[in-house]
Amino acid sequence: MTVPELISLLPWWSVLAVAILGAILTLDVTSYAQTWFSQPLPAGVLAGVICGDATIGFSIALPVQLLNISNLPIGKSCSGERTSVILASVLVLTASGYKPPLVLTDGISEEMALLGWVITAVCFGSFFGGWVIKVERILHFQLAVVGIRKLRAGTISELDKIQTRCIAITAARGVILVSFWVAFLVLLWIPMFWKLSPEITKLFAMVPMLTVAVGISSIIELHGRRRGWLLLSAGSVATVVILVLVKGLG
Amino acid sequence: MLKNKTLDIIRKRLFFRSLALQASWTSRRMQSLGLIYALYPWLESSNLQLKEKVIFCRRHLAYFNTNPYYANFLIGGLIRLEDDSCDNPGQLISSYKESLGRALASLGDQFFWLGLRPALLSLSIVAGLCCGPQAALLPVLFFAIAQLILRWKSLNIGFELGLDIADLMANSVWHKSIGIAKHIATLLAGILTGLVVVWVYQNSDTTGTLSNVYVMVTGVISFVIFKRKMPVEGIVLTMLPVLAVLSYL
Repeated sequence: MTVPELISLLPWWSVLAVAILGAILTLDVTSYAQTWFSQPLPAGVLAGVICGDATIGFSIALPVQLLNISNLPIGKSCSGERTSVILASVLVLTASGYKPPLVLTDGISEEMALLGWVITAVCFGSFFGGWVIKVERILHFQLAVVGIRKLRAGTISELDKIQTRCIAITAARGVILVSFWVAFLVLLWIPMFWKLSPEITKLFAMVPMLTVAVGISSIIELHGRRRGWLLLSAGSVATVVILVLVKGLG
Repeated sequence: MLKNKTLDIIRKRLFFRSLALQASWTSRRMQSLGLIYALYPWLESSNLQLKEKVIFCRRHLAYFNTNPYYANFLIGGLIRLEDDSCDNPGQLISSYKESLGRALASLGDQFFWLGLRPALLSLSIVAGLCCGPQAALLPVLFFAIAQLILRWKSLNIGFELGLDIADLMANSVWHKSIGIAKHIATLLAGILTGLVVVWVYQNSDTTGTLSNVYVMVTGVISFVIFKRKMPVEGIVLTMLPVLAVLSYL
């Protein structure tokens, strides 16, 4: 597949719908409501539903969600931004006719390698998005300074307008970042994957499994203290026993 | 005193505005602008003179931080206190805001971020793996509706209790719910671990058990080494050269 072919496969209405979803979910992260639909897993599945294949959304978002379950967005911490790059990845992979692997340890295959390649982009994108959030916070601060100055002059309604402007800036960040990542994936990242050697492809097929291991480790670290070990062990053993009894291990 | 009827009129506006508490978050004043934005409908409907309104805004522009899901207890309480401002001096309102905000932040962060969020998202993952991708949305949908109901109701509770909200905070249910949420999250983490163990075993024919085990062990060791030094995405990127070596084994 060539770049023009990939571009032609992207329906304009899907790009528009995912960009709008990006704006809504970017607001949801901290700015408005915080319903957790902006968490990687629900965001990926929602994008998948919009683009016509929820399984692709689930496959991309699952490892990223595992990595971020124990990520705590408290206070001043700026823990990266992955929602926009996940939405863009789901859109591009769905348009390209990608067939996702059934589980994240589904062997060394080209599908698994492409998933690993996209997860790597999400990891890079998270850092970039975190930097953009910091820039946005500087803008918020500058707006707040203007508002306080106006308040001293007795213009109270200005504070109300500033809040609205901050909401608009955040929504715009969502649209801009989704559009940027769609362009990045279509023009650079996915075409680069087609040129990878088989050895490198094998490397990236291992990335989803690595994310599962890192993610599970972080969850265990969060909960596995003192009494937590009993519940962790009980949950693990019970799951293995139930799956063996229901499906067998073959 | 503001009548309950007046509260009913502005309640919808207060509620929708309170959802944007963190929209103008800044590192210096945290949620203070968001708080004024949320309280603005009350300010508009009050009989305060312009000078008093400016004093009100300056009082609430001071550093303020709380948990967004519990914030409406505080917003309701603040409206009650501001409404009775002839009985409550500004100093009392400020210390009420600070102390209650801190208490709600501590309870909310522990319950929502450390307990409920890991539990709910683990449940989403398990639901998605067992019942199909769309099932992963159900726990999040349930949370979204439940937290909106909590925020709506807590606005009224805060208003009705005013200063007496301290009695509500003393209830042991808050701490018990934190403990229960953490236990559920831990159990679900165990279920996820069990699922991964079965995946790895089931796919040992196609990839070789050793290859799977190498990668899993690499993931665990890398997390232990780098957990305090970089974000988890950084750990994945740092381990790419190690995976390159493993891919030749």
